[in-house]
Amino acid sequence: MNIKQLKRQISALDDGRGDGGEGPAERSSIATGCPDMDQKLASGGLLAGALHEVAGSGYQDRSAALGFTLGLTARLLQERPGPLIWCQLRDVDRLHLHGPGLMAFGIDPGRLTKVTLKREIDLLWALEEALDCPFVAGVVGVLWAEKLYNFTASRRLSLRAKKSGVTALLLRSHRATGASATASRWRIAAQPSPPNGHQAQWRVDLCKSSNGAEHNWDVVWNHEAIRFDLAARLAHRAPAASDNKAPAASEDRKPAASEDKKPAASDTYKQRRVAR
Amino acid sequence: MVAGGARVMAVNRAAARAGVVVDQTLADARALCPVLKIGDDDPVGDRRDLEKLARWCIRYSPWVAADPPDGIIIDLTGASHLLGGESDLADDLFQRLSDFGLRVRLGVAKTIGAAWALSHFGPAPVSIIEDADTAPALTKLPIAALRVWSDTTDRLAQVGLTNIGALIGKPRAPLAARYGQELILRLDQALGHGPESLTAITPPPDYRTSRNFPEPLLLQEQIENCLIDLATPLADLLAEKSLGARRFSLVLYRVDGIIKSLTVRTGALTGKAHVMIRLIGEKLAAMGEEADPGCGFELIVLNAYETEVIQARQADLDHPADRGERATFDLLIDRYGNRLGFENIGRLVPYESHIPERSERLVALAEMPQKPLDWPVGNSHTGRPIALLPRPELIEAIAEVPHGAPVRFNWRRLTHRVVRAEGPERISPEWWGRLSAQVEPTRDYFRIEDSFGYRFWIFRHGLYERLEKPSWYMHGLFP
Repeated sequence: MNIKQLKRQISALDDGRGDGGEGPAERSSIATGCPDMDQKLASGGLLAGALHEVAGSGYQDRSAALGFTLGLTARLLQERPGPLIWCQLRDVDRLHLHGPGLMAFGIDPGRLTKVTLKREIDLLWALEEALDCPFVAGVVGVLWAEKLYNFTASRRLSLRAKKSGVTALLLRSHRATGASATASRWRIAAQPSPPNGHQAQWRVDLCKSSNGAEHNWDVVWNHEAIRFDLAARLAHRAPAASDNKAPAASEDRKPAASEDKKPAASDTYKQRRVAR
Repeated sequence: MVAGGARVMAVNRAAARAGVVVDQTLADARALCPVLKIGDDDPVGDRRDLEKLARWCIRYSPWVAADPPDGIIIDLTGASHLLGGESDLADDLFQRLSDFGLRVRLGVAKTIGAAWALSHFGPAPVSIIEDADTAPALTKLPIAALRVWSDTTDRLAQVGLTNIGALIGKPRAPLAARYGQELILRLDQALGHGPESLTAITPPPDYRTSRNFPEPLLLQEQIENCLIDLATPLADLLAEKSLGARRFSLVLYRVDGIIKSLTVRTGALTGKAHVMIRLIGEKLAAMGEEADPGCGFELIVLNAYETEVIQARQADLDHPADRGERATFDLLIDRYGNRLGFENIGRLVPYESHIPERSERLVALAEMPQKPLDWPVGNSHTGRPIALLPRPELIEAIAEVPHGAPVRFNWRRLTHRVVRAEGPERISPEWWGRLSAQVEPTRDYFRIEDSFGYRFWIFRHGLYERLEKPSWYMHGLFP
């Protein structure tokens, strides 16, 4: 028996398990609205009926990761009718969704059903149960700190998602490690916004995808069209003529932006050590 | 303790045989019977145990009241036929209570007064008056059986009136004038001429189904099967009247008199058997060890509370196809609620306030109004963050000008250099709030971006010109 045969066997087993023996179902996708991103994704968008993970690239990037998750959520809500289940642990440090802000982001807060939980085990249970309900538009779980979430848990979630066709998004901590059965994994970093607007801009890294491709994009969220747009390339280039203050400001910021954050962070760390 | 030392409050049969009587001093009682075993009087504990026993009696009828110090009243109306009539029920009750090691006297009659008289002064431990007219059976009983004060009975005895028969048919006005209104009231109640009500120990359910098991149930599986057997007729019962309930309880009676009960709630009115089975079954499974069957359960009761007529929903007209799926969502929410608490499942609802943290409320799904307020569509605040901190956090900020945005600030031990700021957006306190408590300072909100591109929503609390010693707070994060 060679590798090919084994692979075929495994995929046959996988399909049988996932779809309850009915054969592989037609799986649609949720377009991100950004043609460049959709092209690179194997399914022409975010695979529907699957599990997707989003994480910030650092602690401070959690709001950017939350923003990207909300962007995907907004796309999801456009695709499918019904309420969205948002599961979050109860903790003092957590960020609470702000209705007026969601409105501005392009999400109707009335369609979110927020489930607040005390324990991670309940959170995983709630996610699994929500994925069984075909009426929901989608399921989002916020896992800032995780102890129980592992490969088995992710496999359970993705099997349920596959069976019901409901898409699950999981917002994880930047420290999240380990294998998981997710269909895609995204890593988000905040970026300085273009000089002409107070618009969120992120560096989006696709670290895991079903076709193995890894890509990254600089995107902004378009809250009017409710889609992701590629960030304008020229946004950071300082104009040749410096006739007002704005270019000077952007030039001033440029080194900070182009330098990686890690050296900066380690610099401060060094300074602290020296101070000690 | 009264003057003269400890006294006897109650005696059991063996002690009574030895000559010990109530109200005797303890010293006298010990002299009569040196091996006397004594325990402290505990009226609170007695009361508690009596109520526990009364709860157990709910197995016979939902209308049960404790009658301190030592009685329990059960309203058997419409319940006795389930156990083959009043006398069979009384025998069963007597047998079970005796098996618990209790000395029991039972009286069954058409009025509470007559039943009380029979149980306390009746000829046999189990006395039953089948007749609607209780008078003939009561004539021989002493006047104390009417639940009147002992000085009333004493004064009646002085004039030769010792039993109830002597009072029946006597002119009422002179009796009332001499011995008080209470005597007449109690007499009327015993004979069924006057009203007497009973306050149930727990609110009785609207509908209930129950099953008896000659062979006690021990296995979880058996209980689950029984749940299915109980839910189906209950659902039929509710469906017949197009009713739905919001609360269900499953009560398990153990052979040794211990009661286990569990309650589930539903958000919407429901009368579906599979919903009851799913919700209660999950709770039952969650009980696990706690549902310790001991020697087994002999009686299982399923109750439905808060029933109302189910109104056909208008919303169903829009998407008739969604109906089945909608039901799965309702069930999901109910299951969440029963496991996690209904207050934890909610939706954001706008609230009339311009203070950011008060402009929305998380309303439990169970308490959602039929038509919630819509979020304002036209007026989308692009200046609002997607997430707020649970409460604003104090930050150290350095501003160049009093009214400007800070140039640098520390939050959670990290220093942020501000490269871009928008604001201020002034949010004044609500003037109607000033009447109460202290005046809250004005807030000036800024949208801030630091050198790495992280975006924050911070505010200055207080104004310099009012000398309010402003401080800075972090309130929310932009994506």
